[in-house]
Amino acid sequence: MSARWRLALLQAAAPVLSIAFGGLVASGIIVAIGKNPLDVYGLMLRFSLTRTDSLAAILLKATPLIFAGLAVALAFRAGVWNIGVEGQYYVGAFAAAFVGFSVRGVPAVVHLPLAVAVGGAAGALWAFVPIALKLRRGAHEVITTIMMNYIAAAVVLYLLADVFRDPTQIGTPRVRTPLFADSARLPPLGPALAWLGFDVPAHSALNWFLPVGVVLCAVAAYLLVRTRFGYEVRAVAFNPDAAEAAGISLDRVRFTMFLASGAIAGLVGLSDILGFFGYFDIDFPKGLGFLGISVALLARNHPLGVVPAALLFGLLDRGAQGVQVFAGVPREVITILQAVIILAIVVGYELVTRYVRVQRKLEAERALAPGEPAPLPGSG
Amino acid sequence: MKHVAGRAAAFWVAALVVLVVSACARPAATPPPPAQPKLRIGMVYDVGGRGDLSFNDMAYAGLSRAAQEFGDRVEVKDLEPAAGGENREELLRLLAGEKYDLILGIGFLFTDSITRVAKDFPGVKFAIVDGFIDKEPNVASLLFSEHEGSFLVGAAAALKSKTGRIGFVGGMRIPLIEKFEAGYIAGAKYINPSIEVFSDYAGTTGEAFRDPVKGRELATAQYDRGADIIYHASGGTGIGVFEAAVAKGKLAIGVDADQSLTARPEQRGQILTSMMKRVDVAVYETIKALVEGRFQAGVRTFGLAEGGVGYAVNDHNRAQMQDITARLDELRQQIIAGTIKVPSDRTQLEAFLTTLKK
Amino acid sequence: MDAIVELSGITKRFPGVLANDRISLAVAPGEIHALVGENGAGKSTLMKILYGLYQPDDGTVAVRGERVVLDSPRRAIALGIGMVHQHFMLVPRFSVAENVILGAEPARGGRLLAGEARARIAALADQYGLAVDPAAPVDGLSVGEQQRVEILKVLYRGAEVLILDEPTAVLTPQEVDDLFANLRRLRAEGKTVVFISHILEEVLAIADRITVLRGGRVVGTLVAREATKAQIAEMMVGRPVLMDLAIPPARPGEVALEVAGAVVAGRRGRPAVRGVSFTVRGGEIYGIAGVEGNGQSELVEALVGLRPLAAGRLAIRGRDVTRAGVRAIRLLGVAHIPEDRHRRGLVLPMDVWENLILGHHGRKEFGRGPVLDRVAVWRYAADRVQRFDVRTPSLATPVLALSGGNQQKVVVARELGFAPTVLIAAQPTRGLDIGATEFVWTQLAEARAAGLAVVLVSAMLDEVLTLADRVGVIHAGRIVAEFPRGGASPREIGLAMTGARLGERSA
Repeated sequence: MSARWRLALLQAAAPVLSIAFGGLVASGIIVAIGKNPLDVYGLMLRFSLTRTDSLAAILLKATPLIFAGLAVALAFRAGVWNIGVEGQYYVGAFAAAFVGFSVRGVPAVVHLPLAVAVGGAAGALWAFVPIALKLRRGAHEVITTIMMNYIAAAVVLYLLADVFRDPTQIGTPRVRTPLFADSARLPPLGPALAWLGFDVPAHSALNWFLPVGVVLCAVAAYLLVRTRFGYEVRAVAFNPDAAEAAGISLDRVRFTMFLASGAIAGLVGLSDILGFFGYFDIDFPKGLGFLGISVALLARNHPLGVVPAALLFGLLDRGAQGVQVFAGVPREVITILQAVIILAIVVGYELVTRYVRVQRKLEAERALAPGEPAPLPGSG
Repeated sequence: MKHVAGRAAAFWVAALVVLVVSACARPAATPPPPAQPKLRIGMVYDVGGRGDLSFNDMAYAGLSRAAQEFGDRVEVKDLEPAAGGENREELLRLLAGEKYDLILGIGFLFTDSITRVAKDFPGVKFAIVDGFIDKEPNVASLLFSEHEGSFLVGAAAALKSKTGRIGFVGGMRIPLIEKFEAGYIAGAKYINPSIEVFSDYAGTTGEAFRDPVKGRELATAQYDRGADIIYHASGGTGIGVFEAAVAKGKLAIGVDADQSLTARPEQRGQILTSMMKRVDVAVYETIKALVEGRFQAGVRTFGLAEGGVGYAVNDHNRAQMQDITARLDELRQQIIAGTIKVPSDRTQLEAFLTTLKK
Repeated sequence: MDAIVELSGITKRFPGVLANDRISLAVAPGEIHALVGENGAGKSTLMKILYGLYQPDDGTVAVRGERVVLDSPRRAIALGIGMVHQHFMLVPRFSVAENVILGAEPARGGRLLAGEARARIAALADQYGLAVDPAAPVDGLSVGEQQRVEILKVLYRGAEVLILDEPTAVLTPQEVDDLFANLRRLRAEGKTVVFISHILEEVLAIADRITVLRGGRVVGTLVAREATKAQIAEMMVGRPVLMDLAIPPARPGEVALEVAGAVVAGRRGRPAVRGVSFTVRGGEIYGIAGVEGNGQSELVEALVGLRPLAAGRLAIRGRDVTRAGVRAIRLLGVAHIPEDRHRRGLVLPMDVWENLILGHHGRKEFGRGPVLDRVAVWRYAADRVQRFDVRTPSLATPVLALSGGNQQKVVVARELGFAPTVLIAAQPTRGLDIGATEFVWTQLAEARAAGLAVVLVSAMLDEVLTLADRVGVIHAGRIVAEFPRGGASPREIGLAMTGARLGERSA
């Protein structure tokens, strides 16, 4: 078997090997709580993959993570560390919610895209502050984005509780915005899937944002791999000094990618609020921005890797519910398990990558095979 | 580096072999046990889950008491939602899909989810603690007369105060918490109409229940103005109230659970008593009703009469409470009997206070 | 002659590579034995075998006439063989003494005998003339001093044979002289030194005997006193090497590059270039000679637009580009071979084809609109690789997998693409072996012949003297002297490089 083929195969199999490695490590924990790992994994997989409600739940859970993972990956790819997806998606979600409940009497074809656009714009705006501070003043974006996360949480909470709280809910413990107009709700994906022969339970909130997210990832991948700008992004990420010497504007690349990251981040929460809740409330899902970092890490910052990585998170989450209900494994253990599996996958992937890198170096040395005469100067 | 990578590759191969071999050797996991004639009861906790030393732990206490008492007739399962709590509806659905007989959701955050799931599973009974759902034929709402319990601890504060000034620290300013405040002020003024009650809230958002710094700040200010006992109804913010009590050497009153038992040792001496919201009683009673075939949908309120609220007496505060328990029990009987009508909001409180002045 | 170390028939294979092919080598006690060869000739592999890091597939090792199995560095040290690595392995926060004893701490009953160790180290340093203070923390030492600590480490462990792997690569010329003095002292004290290098001047200056490797085999062993540079170079490369290019007389054309009164800020805002002026015409090479750190780097960065001019004027083909950025200057046909190819010249993790279009990627030849035409790019890259003989397994190989010489070929191939008119080459042969150096020199000469205006900045005097039509000597940010080809002896130029004024020459 040729070495090139072997390497390609190994690279392709790396995620699978890594997941197996992660599962093996996590087995120790399962044994420690007195369960059989094979029973637990078997249950987890069977529960997650053989029930339509589970599949729908996995896809639903993966939807915001695709956006979050893509947002993080876009910034990281350009070598700028957007830790602020968390704050950007709060702000984006609230802005979209504002359009959802304040605009009335416009058709869905106007209202829904408007809400989505405003959400993205708000996320980009929230990203604009740290990147402008970085490029103009040299403030490190890791610090500023974390700060912006706190500000986002506080501002959104204030707007929600003190400015836009649904007046009909005052007097109850519910702190939420007024309900959105129906024209701002994301249509469910169920009918389309049913047409394709896949029946999603009626209660599922799975919506059109899932295909939108997947398409966005594909578009991002195409732009990054095939265009001149994508080429510049890679050069800037891997070696900004060399990119600069080649006449590439570092600021332009970083600014564009950071804003794109913020805009995508602004869409993270929309599947939940426009597709499920129909209002923005104090119990709005949090932490998706940070989960997005894990997703991007798992995807090696590749837009196409984001989709399977997000699905894996969805699977782990749904599987966790299954083993909690049917195997009596406590939630805490499951959380540890998830973390261990993800960590093991990342470590495993790194090992494969290093192995491949070493092999390629050897391959290049072989190209300068011994015994061959040295190159003639300028021979053409 | 090459060596590391090589070894790693070898390790994986070994790992895979182990997995595959063991997978072949052992048949797949056994399916979940078949349904038994036992009544199956599921419970999903509020955010935070077990170990919060308060709401969720009390719900668990009620569940395990029922499991013990009706051991041969029920089978119980308790679940914790993910950290953000956003999957609580999925967990409810899972239990309902497994044809559980009764599913309890702990906390008002379950209001929307239980409403939706109850519609989809009309054959399953649901109960929600602290949430108000009255339109579904298969949902029981378990509410508490917090104002009645607060009345008693207000009376206790008035009886124990030496300065004639007491305080109240609320979490988020919402009607639910104002109910605590109204009962507390009513109880205190009932004992001593001229007593002064300072009242502050930590904020207007959910954060107000998680802000110990603010709690400490508010309590310290009240102590400085002469209050010697402060009642808090502010969740985690109350930790700051206890800290202030320790720092100032004054007293505080806890809420929801018997907080003397969970407080730090140096705080115990400063906790006069706690207004207990007996989530355990509500959970237990609801299960009992199901077992005895008299489960009822609709709103059910747990007050003093039902043992749903009360004040705590334990090893730490027995000495301090000794001289007033007789008086408090007397008041309790009067409330149960309806001789005293405890106000539950500001308007009723105003009316109640005017009756006192006469 | 009884060899202290004798390697016989050593063969070492890596997957697809025969790194050492039946190598036999005898090192005599008390000699400095140089091991030379181009990159990839098998020097490092052989020395790693001798140090116990690799096991040979075939062949034997004998130390002091006894056959041994070197299965670990520990064993090698026990036999008196020590290695001074190219990359130092020192703990910065520790003192010299602590670093020296690390891993071989003298202890009695678990108690560290620090005083005893320090005394022994001081004695060793004194005996071998290795001037270094045992109590000084390592992070305050110069590179040369750190190297002495590494040598002390090896001596402290009782080494009789010291292997030095390309020890001069990291040193300044002054430090190289100091190192050689140390090595001679070691020889005088009876130690044996195996010295790995590919710089011929150094080898001839220090070694007693020289063994040349090529393609994993021994080509021959020479006595240094009787060897010549050309002879060794031919053995290394496998064919005669033109050490002195025949450069035809210049036919200068139009002025292509004009620098007037350039002032450029260096680190911490202090001017590194203080008023430099020169012009370069098409078809000539303007050499800038000087000791490194005299403003060359900043001057080059200013010429290509990476650094703003604080004062002065810069024009390319008559166009004022004083305030222009990198992109604008590149578009005027300025090519740039940066002094640090890893930092400025290449994106190491990216593939060969990608590196070959860096800076050209916006050209219309590579597709219309925002999408890169992969077929066109690939065709172009394949042509470049062939024309410049870049040795790579494929166009899709990351550049980091290539050897230094091939990496530099990628840079040169790219920069000479699309017919530039000005070429700024900074330290273009730094770190390259003979074959690659010769290649770069030929390319520069061909560029000149093709009518390019070439600026060659180099710290290697013979490089500048060989190639440049005019030489400007830079010192402390100023051009202190300018000579036409053949207008000054190396001594005169060397003197100017130290800052001595021309008028003081005879003084």
